[in-house]
Amino acid sequence: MRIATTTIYKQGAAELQRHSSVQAKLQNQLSTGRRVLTPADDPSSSAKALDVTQAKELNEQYAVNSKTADSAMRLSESTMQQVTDLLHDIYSLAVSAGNPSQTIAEKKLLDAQLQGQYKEMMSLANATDGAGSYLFSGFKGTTQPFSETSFGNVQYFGDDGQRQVQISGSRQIPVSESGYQMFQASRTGNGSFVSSANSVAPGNSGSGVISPGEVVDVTKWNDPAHSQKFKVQFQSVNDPANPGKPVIAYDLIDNQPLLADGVTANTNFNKSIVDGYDYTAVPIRPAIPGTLNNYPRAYLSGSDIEFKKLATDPVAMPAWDYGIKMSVSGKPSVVIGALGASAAPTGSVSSGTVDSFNVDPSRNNGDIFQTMKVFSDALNTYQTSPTGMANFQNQLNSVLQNTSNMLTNILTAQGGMGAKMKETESVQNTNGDLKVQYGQTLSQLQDLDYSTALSDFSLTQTLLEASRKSFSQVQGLSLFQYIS
Amino acid sequence: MGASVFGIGLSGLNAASLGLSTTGHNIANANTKGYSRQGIIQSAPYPQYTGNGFTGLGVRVDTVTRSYDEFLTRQVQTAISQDSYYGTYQAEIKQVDNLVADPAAGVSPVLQSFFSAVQGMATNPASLPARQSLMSNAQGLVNRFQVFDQRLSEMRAGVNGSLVSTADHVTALSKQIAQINGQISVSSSGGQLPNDLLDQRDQMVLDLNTLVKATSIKQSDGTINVFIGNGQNLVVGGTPYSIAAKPSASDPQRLTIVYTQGNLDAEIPETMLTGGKLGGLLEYRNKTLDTAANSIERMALVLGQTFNAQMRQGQDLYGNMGTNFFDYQQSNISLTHTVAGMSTAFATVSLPTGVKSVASDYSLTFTGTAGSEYSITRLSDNVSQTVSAAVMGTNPTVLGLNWSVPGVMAAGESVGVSMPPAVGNVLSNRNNTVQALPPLLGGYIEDVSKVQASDYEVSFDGTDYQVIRQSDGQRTMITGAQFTNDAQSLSVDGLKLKFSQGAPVAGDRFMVQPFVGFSRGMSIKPTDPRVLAAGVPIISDTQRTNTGTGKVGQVAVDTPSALTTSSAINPALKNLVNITFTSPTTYTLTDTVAGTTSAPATYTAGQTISFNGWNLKIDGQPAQGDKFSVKPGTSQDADGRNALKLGELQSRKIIDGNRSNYQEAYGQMVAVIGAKTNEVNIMSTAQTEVLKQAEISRDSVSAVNLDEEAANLLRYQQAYQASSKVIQIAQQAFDAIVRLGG
Repeated sequence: MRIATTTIYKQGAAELQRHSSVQAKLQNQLSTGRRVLTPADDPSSSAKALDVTQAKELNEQYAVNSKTADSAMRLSESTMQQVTDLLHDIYSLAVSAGNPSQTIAEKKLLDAQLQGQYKEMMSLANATDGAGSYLFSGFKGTTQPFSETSFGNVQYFGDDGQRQVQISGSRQIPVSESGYQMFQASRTGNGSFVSSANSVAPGNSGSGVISPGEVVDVTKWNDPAHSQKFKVQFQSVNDPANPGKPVIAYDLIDNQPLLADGVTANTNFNKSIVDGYDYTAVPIRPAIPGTLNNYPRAYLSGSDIEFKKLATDPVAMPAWDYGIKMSVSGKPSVVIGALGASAAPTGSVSSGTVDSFNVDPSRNNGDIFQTMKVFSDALNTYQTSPTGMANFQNQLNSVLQNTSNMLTNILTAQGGMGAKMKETESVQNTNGDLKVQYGQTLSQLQDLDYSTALSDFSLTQTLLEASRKSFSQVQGLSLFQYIS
Repeated sequence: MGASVFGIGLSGLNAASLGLSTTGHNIANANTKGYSRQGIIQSAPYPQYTGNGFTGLGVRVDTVTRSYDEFLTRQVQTAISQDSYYGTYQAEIKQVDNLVADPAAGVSPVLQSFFSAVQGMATNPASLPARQSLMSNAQGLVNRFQVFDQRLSEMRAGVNGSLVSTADHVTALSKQIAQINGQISVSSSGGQLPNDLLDQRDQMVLDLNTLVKATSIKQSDGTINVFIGNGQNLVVGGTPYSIAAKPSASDPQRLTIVYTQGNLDAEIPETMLTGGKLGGLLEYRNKTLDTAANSIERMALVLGQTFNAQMRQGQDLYGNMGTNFFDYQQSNISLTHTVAGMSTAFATVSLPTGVKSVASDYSLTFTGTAGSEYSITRLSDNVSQTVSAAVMGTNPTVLGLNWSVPGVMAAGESVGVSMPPAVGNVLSNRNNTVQALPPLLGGYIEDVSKVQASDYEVSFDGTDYQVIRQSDGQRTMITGAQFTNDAQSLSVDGLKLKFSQGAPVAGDRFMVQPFVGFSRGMSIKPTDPRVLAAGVPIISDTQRTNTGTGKVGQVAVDTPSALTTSSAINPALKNLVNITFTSPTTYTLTDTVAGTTSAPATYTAGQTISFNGWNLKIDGQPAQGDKFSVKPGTSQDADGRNALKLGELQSRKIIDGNRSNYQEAYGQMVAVIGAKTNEVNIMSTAQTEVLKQAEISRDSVSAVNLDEEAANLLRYQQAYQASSKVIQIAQQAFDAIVRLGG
């Protein structure tokens, strides 16, 4: 093919140009360490790299967040641990207060200890984090959650909000607990019902102490067909056969005035559920001539009081079973006055007094402060008479039960917090792994393979040298050099 | 006889001399662009008959020819047009490519730090520094959008400038070609071709092809006619025509190429101007610059609108509902609100003249009370104003908005109102029919999840409308009946367009630029960090005396819809609502503000209850009479629930019909531009190679080889010397005869 002189120059120059530009680009890649300098170098990689960068930085944000969450939870958790410890102390204090040999003065000493614990409990409930935000006030960070109007009467001013932190793309973890739920909302009684001595003045006169009771069949207990508020009412009369000794019997009475809707009157209210006797007109059963005691069930200290139809019950009532039982020990009711050796009930009313115990459904309002007040009051009003000791024991039982419920409540919250801290920790680990992975992906997407690039670079350099050399030799050839 | 020898010698001498000068001409023009080497064609003239037979008369030079191949020359023209097209495109797109990749100018890094700041606020809702940091990061984000917009505008201005100079250059070349056409037709009338003029003209046509793809057709008189675009004459014989870059009829900001004939300017369709610098510039502007600008502005708009909607759902540190965080131009078109099931509009709302935006959502309720029939509430601060039916008839301005109720509302009916972002720009075509009351088209963004990063052309044929999406040419037909049924408006790709004045006539066209200038008008509205709505205005509560084990979760506000005209929250959101269990398996909802109680609904553990724009999960086993409530929250300074929702926006897929999140939408744009740049780079390299090969092919025929010319020099020198010798011999022979005689 015929070659024009300009072609030689053009071609030589173009080759030099091409090698130079390849070399410049490689040089740029080598000095930045990046394979993708602009999106044009690898469009899909660079768009992917942007997405991965966002994911990576989000991930880093989540790592920061989970640290924040972790430290917030650590603070709450350690405060809860202190509350747990304190509740343990209160519990052992209550257990030791049950020692019947203690004097009134010794009970007062215990109360002094309790007062200190009460103050500590208040300060734990109002604990703050480093920034001055209250730990247990829900969303109201700067509102002091608990303040007392009088001893034991503590009001909650926070709300039920749970602060949350985003610790991964799909998880917002709650890092706070509502103070109300922790301090004032444990389940009361045995979880289904609360048994307590009649607290309406002048209170019980006997030495009966009621047990917390238990649920035999939860389905039967929760059956909405029957009420869940009852009264166990006792009556004792002087036993004519054994004068000076009372004979005690009891009745189970429906104590719920209105149905659950809060409007409709309960037609069974104030009626015996054992035999249907209506106490509304005559609150204390008149004695039936010829019998000593007309309450339907005989009492035996410490034996089960069962909420169901027993074989010994009057046959008039259809079979019923409310699925719970409890026991009363001691002498729940005392005979007033000396009825004499041959006294027999003669009047229209019973000759004895009536002591009663209440059975109420459990609620979610077990209040630590209130419980401590009850405990304190019991310690302060302690009397060494059988009635006084029975009252004290009944109150102490409820304190023990409530404290134990509160422990369960706090421990559940604490356990939940621990689980969430564990979760945060695992998210942190995942975050660490992801960080490495994203880093690798990014590196694969845009970083330079140095060995390839360096070898390309030296190859281009050789090519460039060769082009230069050949160009300079070719352009030196000319026929004109030989014409003289 | 002697004379003939002299004659022959002389003819040889002349021919060699001509050969030498042609060779010299070739050597002299070895580096002249477009020069074709020349050579002489010589022949022996018709011989003389004598008794001895035919005797030669020497040599004759017939003509000087140029080595020229028309096919190869055309190949170079085509190649150079393509090469210049890709070269121009490459030079221009490189700037955008660098811009989107630049960590200092790209949007990705600031978007990330903005959302990090949102997370910061979510984690520490009460912290003023965290809130302040969000505001400054948001300002940084807005600035970045604006810088991007400004750089793209500069590039657009650069394209306009290049179009003007290129069009002028084309016109200048057309004049030169016409002129040289004239000279060629005169010169070639003598039968010989003016080689150097032809070369010059070829070079001009080649130069023209670097500017725009041009075709030339040779005429019998040696002239050529040149055409560009879809057959526009640029040169016809000796007559030049001109093109110019002038403001386009659809958008005065945009220069386009017009073909000028006398006083008439005719726009050449931009798709017709294919190769060369012009083709490259136009393609770059239509395909890359518009896409980049629209994508980035759309991202700003969707981000602003969705962030604002979420912000309006929240509650600030003062206990007020949140207000718009980003400020931008809202629609000044009257918005029509209807109640489901009613065809007639019952309320229209508009911004007062000159007002850019309102920060809150509103609600309008028909109370039915005589004298104060309507109640209008600004939801952010819950300020209400009652308006009588008589006053409502006068289109009053209440709480910062203009209201009217042309329809009939039933007592208790209520509607939430939100002001949507305005469509950036709608331009009436310059060629639209002139009317006394010219039609003004405007509109707003109705659904941010549907908007496409494109401009639109709306045309009216007298009955129906046609909307052409400019990015991909997709056509949407909206019939006159559809237009009427849609409350006299055009709905396309999440846009709502209405005539605020006049009506179009057949042939009218409008250019809709939904996003233009959006980021330029964008700013951060709040100055007080306390008004950032990190919390949620409602909270769930459990009645303290409940006996069951039912538990409520956190109440959440329903996610705001992508529709921009309905308020982000239900106006009844903050009403105290009691959830009362009438039995362990049924519950009623009592709205204590509205005073309504629902019929008992069946409860299943773990179910979510939705009411008044919130939703709440209830679990466990509530007992009869148990009560839960949703109530307004107060002093919730540690509440970061709404900030968490704001943070979730970062990964929520909202754009493009809920297909991409902000970052992905941006990444797609980067990928599109990167791919285009890559393609152009490859094509440009390939085309340069094609051009080189075409040039080598042409040069192998036409260009000068100095070695060859050196050889020719020697050849003609020898011929010259030989002819001289012939004359010398003839003279010596003549002398001998003369000596004999004397």
